[in-house]
Amino acid sequence: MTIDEHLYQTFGFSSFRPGQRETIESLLGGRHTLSMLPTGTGKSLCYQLPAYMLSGSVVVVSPLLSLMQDQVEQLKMKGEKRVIALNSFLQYKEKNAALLRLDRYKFIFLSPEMLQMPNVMQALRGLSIALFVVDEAHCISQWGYDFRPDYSLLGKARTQLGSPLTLALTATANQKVRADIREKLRLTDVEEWVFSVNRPNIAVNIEMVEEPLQKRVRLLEWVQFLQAPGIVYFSGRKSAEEAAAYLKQHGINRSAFYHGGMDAGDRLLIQHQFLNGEIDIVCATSAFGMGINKENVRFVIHYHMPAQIEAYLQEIGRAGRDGKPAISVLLYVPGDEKLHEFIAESEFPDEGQIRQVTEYGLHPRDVQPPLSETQLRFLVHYAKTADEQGQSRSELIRDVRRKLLEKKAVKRVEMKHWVESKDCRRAAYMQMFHEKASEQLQCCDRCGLDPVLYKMKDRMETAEKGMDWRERLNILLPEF
Amino acid sequence: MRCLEAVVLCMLKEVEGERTASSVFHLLKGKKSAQTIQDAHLFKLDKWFQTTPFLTMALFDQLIEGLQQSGCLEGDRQRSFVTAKGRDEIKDVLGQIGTFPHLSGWKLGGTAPLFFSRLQLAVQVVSHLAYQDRTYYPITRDEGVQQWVKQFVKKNGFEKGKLAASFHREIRFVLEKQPEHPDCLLLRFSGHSQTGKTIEQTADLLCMEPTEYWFRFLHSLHAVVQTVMNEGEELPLLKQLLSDITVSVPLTESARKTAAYLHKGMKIEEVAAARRLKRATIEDHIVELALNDPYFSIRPFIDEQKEAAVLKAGGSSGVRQLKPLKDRLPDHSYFEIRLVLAKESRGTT
Repeated sequence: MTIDEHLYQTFGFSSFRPGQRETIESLLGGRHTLSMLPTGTGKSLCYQLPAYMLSGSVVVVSPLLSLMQDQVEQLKMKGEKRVIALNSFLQYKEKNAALLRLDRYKFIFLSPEMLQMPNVMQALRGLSIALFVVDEAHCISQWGYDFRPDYSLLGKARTQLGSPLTLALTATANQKVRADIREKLRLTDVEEWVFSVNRPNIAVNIEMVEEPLQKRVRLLEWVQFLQAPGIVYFSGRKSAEEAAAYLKQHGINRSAFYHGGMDAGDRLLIQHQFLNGEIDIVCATSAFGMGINKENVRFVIHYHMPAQIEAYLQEIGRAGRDGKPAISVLLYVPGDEKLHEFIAESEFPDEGQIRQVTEYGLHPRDVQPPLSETQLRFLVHYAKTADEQGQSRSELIRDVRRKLLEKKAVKRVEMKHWVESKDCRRAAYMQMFHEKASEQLQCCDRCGLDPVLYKMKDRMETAEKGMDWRERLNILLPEF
Repeated sequence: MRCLEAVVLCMLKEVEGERTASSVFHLLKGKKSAQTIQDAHLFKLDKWFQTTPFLTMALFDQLIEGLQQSGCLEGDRQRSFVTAKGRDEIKDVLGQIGTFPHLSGWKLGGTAPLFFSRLQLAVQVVSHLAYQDRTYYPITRDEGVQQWVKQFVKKNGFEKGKLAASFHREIRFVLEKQPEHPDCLLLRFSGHSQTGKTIEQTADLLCMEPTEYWFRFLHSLHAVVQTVMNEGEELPLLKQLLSDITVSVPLTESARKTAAYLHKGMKIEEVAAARRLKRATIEDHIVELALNDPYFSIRPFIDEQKEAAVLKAGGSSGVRQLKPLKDRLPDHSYFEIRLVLAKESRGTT
């Protein structure tokens, strides 16, 4: 079968999206491949399709548990049963059982820390690995958006697995980050496919708002005006909840909030409701959207300015996956960036917490006040690195912390400049990735765009209220 | 006042002057400690045991503070007393909502959530089968539940249309029997072309305050589980869903170990030595066993005459404070008195 036949028969698509064919052909030609494809263009197909044409297992390293679960479920829904996710959620017994029969799985999803476990590595070495995939590969680089220290050990693990054919996937990586990916993964001979970060069907609109309270009113007006479905992003859980309540009060009934602080079952339900079109506005933090394949999202609104342009592009990229026109709106109040200064600080352990580990020799887990997951990972990783390199723990940890915070500050300033600039939005963001812009219609607020094009045509209403429970039960489980 | 506050007040009233406010928190969370397990029975608060998984210590602290500020509660955390205003509030709120007579946290706290999880997934799978719709995301990511339901459908699903119809009949039967609005449960199910609602959303749709909805949901669920337990013959599918859930009596792990030693015929001192624990700890375990295990005999630890003496001194009349009893029974140890009280309260629940 040719790759086009596979595309149709296995996945039900009649044509590739930009970048998919190039990546797949490169892999089938046996070449290590680094692909940068913009968000929303179907990156996972790049390893799913070759999986059916190569013999052996496909190992996928993924940074986020929820992302991993989404990918596993999507494969299962397509009828693929040979899928497993190895992560810290798996019970000891389940994990051991899975490791014993790992060769039965076509797709093995892993979190990076699993590759540091001797028994996992041993089981993997016993396999014939057709393809080693590093998803969200920019996480490997300090210069990349969303740096994850434990990703830096992937190169070593890859070598230990006999340097199998490798695919590094990312949506956002400039030249510096791409060079870092190659180096850290120890990819010497690699084919690089870089596609434009531009998503021409998404109009970019930035709106200056004078003071924070006014944002709510503007949000409501936009949500009432625009064709749904849409996602509204917030920098904090509380503001997402409050805005959702505000929208409900004003008659936007098919809306809900979503954030990482919610019960896992509830999060899943909101995700399903959105996918099934039962709600059409989600007020969310950045926890929402990764791994959600919804084609027809018509708008993304940012209630707060994102911390950096890469995050912004990832998030607006969830709109218009179907290729039809979509719009992104960023509501900006001068000073929005202050919030991110605070958030950035809180991602790292503070002076006192560092000292408890470096000077008083406490285990990071016993530090008071207790460390968050991210803080803990950071501290554990760099304490170990310092020991390995024979350096002073406190110096190295403080040094890395300062450098990473400085980097985030630089990214923040870059984002703020972009917001405040008088130039074409699209040309400016493309330039950050060393691309030249081409002119287009419905480009951005600077070049001029007509919001009426995105005006609501139809809005569904809920029929739930008023239905008798017997009727509801009969729909759920028909008596025939 | 929210329903949760009224419930907490109502529990505080039972333990006032004898236990701290935190003991109520531990009861609601279903803490598996000897103290909490005994409190559940001693104060007849067992129905609330393990009924609020969403509650955190921080939320509870806030709630207590709020009750103090509004004048429903006086005293400190160590010793709180419900004021007259507090008692009026309880009457007001729970008078309207009801006191959830079928709620049975002690017996069903572990069983009901797993039963519901299975039921949710089973309904979803059967609903999709009935509509011949094969593409959907499972409502739970719990692999154990997924495996279980897969087997369940395999076993029962020879004729797919029939499965939906029989399931429908059984669910309608139990929904008609339980005391709450059927939508309290029904809206939480996912199926063909409809996704279940979250707790918040359901409360909203039913125009209820969220904690009131939560207790009504749980009340309804516990009633359903009890119906399935009692009338299982009529409800073969639901009975299967409940069949192999083995959440045994909530004994602490440590008490279980002590029980094993006692079973070998060891004396209290010997068990204490073998386990490197204090005698008092082993005694706590024995009281816990007396409370929970209907077959546990207290005879090796107290003879008939002494037991009768405790009962005569007031141990059978629901007295919960040990001090006055001990004053009347100078020759008894506290352990002996507690043991008799434990056995007595077992009889009543």
